[in-house]
Amino acid sequence: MRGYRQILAGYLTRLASLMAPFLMVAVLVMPGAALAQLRIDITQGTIEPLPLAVTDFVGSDDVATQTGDQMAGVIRNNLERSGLFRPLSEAAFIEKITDPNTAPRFGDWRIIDAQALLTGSVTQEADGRLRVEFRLWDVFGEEQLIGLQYFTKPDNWRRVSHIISDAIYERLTGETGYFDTRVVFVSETGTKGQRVKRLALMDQDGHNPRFLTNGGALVLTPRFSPTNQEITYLSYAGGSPRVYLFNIETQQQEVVGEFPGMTFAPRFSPDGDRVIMSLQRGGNANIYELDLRTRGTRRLTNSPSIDTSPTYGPAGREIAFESDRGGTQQIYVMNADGSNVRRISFGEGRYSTPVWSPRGDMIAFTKQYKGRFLIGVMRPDGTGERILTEGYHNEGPTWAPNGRVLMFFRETPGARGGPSLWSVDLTGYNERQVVTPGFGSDPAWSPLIR
Amino acid sequence: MRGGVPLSVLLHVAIITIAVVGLPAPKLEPVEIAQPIPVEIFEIDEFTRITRAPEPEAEPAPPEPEPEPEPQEAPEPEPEPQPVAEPTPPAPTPPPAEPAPPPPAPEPEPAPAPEPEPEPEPQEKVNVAPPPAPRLRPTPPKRPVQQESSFDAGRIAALLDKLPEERQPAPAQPAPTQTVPQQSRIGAQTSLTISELDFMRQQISACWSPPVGATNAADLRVTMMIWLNQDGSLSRAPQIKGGNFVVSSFQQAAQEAALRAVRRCAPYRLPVEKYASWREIELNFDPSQMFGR
Repeated sequence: MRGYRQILAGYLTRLASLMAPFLMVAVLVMPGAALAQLRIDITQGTIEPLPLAVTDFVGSDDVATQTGDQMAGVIRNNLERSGLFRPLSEAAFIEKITDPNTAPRFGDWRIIDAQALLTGSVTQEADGRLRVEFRLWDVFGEEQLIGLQYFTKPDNWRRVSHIISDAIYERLTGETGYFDTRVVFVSETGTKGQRVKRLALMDQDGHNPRFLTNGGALVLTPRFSPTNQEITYLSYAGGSPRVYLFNIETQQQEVVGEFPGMTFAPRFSPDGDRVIMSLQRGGNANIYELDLRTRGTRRLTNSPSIDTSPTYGPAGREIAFESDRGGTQQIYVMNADGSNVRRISFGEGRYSTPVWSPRGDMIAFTKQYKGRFLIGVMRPDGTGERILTEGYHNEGPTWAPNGRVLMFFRETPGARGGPSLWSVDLTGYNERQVVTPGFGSDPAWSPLIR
Repeated sequence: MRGGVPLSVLLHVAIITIAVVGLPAPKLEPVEIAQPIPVEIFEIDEFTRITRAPEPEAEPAPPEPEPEPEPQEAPEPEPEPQPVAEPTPPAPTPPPAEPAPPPPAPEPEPAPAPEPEPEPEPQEKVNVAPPPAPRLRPTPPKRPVQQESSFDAGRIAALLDKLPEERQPAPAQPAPTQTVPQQSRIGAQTSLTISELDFMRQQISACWSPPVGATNAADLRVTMMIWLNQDGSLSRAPQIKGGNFVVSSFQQAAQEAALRAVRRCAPYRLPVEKYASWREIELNFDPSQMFGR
C-alpha cells in the first residue's frame, strides 16, 4: 500500500509541476472575472437634506453656556435655510455631550439617523476673549471630519457662528459656504404711491439690519464690490440719476465719473478695480467702463439701441449685457474690449438683467414670457436654460459668493402688495423668503467677509 | 397554341387560388406583428416560458401566404380540385404547433416520478400561476410585492433544475418559445434578475443624497466596491476606486455622500441563494442626471 501511495504522490507532484503554469494563469484570471461580476449604476438619488445633529456648545461658565446655546441656534438656522441640511430636534438626542473633546457614542446618534454630528465648546479666556472650538463627526463612518478653534471678542459670537456654519457646509458639500456674508438691498417703506427707498445692509440671515442712506433721494440697483468695502448704486441725489460709490466703513459717497448724460446699471469688475455701467444719451444707451484708479473711461458698445445691465464674467475677460438691438430685449456676450458680440438667448420671451455667476458656469437672468416674470439660469454659451422660479413679478437676481444660491425680489400685486426678498437654490429646490424689516427689493449679495 | 389553353387555365386557377387563399392571409398578418412584442417583454423580466406558450398559435398563420406562390408551378397535374385541397393544409399547420408544447411538458413527469413537486408544473402553462405562492415561503426576505414576482423566476428555474438532464433535450420542439427561457433560467440561477438588480438600486438610491449643485457634475461620479455578508450587511469597509489620490473638495464630498449612503442602507435585502453573485458589487454613483427639475 505504501509503495502505491508513493507512486501516486510522485505522480501527483509531477502532474502538479506540469500544471503549475496553467494554475497560475487561472489564478491570475479568476479574480478579474470575479470583479466583473456585478456592477450597479446608481443615477438617481434622493434630493433630501442631510440629517445632522447640532448639539449646544458646552460652556465654561453660565455666560459661556448661554453663548454656546445661541451659537448652536444660529448654526442650525443657517444650515436649515440652505436646504441641504436638516438639523434634528434636540429633544431626540440620546447622548448628552458633556465633553466635546472625546468621541461621542456613535450608536446613539445612528439610532436617530443623524449622519453628521456637531459638538463644540465655548470657553471664557482670562484675557476676556472667547475660545470657540468645534468638531464635526461622521456618524456612520465613525470619524472626525473637521475640528477647528477660534478666538474672538465675546460680542462677535454671531459672526463666529456663521464662520463655523461655512466650515461645516464646505466640508459636507465640497463648496465654499456663504453664511459669513451680508446683503445690501433697497428698503422700501411707506405706501405704494409714496415709497421711501433707502439702502440697507444686513447679515445674510436677516440679522443686524441697518440703513446706509437716509431716504432723501431715490436709490436703485446697489451692487457689492468684490473687495467688500464699497457699494455702487444708482441715486437721484443730484437731481438726475447717476452712479455713486458708497464706502461702508467710512460712509463716504461719491459720483462715479463725469458723464454728460444719465448713468445707470453699474456693476464692479471681479477685481474690484473697474465699474461698468450704461450711459444714456438721447434715445439710446451704451456701455462704458470706468477705471476707478485712473478714472479713465472707455466706451464698449456703439449701437443705436439700448444696451444695459452689463456684467463681467468671473475672469473679467467677457461681458454679458442686455440689448434690444435685435428688436426685443435679449442677452448678448462680448469680449471685455467690446469685440465679438454674440447673442446667447434664443428662447421665447424677453430676457434681461443678466448676472454672471461668481464661479463662471452660469448666467442668471430675468425673463418675461406671457405676462409672467421668471428667474432662470443658462450657460454662458446660451445652452442649458433652466427656469428656477416664476410668478407675477420676479426680478433682480444676485448670486451668493459660491455661485450656488440666488437671491431676487418678488413683487406681490394689489394696493397692500410690495416687494420682498427671496432665495432659491441653483437646482431650483428650496425657495424661501428672506426676512427683512419692511419691504425690500434689489438685493445684492456680498462676497465672503475676510 | 395548344398549350395556350391549359396555360391560360392554369394562370386563372393560380389567380383564383391567390384570391381565395391569399386574401384571408393579409388579415392575419397584422395580428402576427402585434404578438411578438409582448412575448419579449414578458420573458426578460419576470415570467417563465409558460406564459408565452399560448401565444405561438398565431404565429403559424404567417406560413400560409408563403405556400401560395408554389401552386403556380404545381398546377400542371390537376386544374380545379387543387385549390380546394390547398386551403385545407394551411388550417392544419396551426394545430401542430399547439399540440407540440404539451408533449414536452408531460415528458418530465415520468422521469422525476419520485418527486411530487414537478407534477403541478407540467400539467399546463396556466397552472404555473399557483406555484408562486408556495415558493414565497422559502425566500426569507420579506419584501414588497414587486420583488416576489422576480423571485419566482429564480425559484421556478431552481425547481426545474432538480429534474434529470433529459428534460432539456425534450423541450426542443417548441424552439421559439423554449430557447429564451433556457437562457433566462441559466441567468436566473447564477446572477440577479433585472428586477432584483432594480430593487438593489432602489435600496441604495433611497439613502443617497448627493451634492447636486457642483460646477462639473462629472467630478461627482464615484465608483466603489462593496463586500457583503450573506445577511446583506457590509463584510468590510467599502472601498472607493481611485479614492487614494488627492481630490477636489467637491469630489471628496461626493465620495463621502456615497459612502454614507452605502453604510446607512445596509443591510441589503438580496436573494440569499444567489449570494455568490452579489458578495462583491461594484457601485457606480452618477448624479449628473439629477440636475434641475
